Amino acid sequence: MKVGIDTNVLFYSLNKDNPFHREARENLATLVENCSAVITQQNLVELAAALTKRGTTPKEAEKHIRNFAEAIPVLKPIAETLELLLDRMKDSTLTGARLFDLYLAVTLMSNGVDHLYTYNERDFRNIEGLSLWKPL
Amino acid sequence: MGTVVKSVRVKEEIWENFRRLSKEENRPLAQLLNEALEKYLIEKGGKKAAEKIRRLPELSLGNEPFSREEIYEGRY
Repeated sequence: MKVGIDTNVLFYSLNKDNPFHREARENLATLVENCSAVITQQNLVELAAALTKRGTTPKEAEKHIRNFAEAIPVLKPIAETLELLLDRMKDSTLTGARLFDLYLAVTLMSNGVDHLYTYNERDFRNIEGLSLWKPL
Repeated sequence: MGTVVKSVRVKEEIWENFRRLSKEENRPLAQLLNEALEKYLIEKGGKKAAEKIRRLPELSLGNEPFSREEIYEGRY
């Protein structure tokens, strides 16, 4: 089983000030060890944005992004991704930044990944075809 | 789902045993090959990559939660 990793997991695994820090880092490491974890290019761009908004320099952020990209396979959108996004948008009430949640979900699903590890469960709960991953 | 990859040279006896196993278990060659490659990757690469995650630097970025709204809708 492949599990997509949401950006909040990457962010919390770096941020020692966050209460989910240790849990996120250990769960992520376990998924990586089992070769279950995958991320998308979108996650890495979002992480770069979040880090630099909190004061990390672009140069430092680049190192953190590279660390993740070297440890976890990075999926890219494929031809079916856009089609799936547009198809889901037709029957969706999502607007604004919430559409990026949907885009992450369809990028994973169009690459055959149907599980997501996130700390933002509410926004992904109703996406058909995507299940939320929980540690055992 | 998957990618068609290059032809690779495999030792005859390994290939024959692999085909026999596939027939015995009534499972496609591609499925067995994917499992074998994944197992190899876990043994060789998974532990090393996991260690890299466990040794990531720890940053102090405040206790505000991550949100996409902040990234996509916040001002520059």
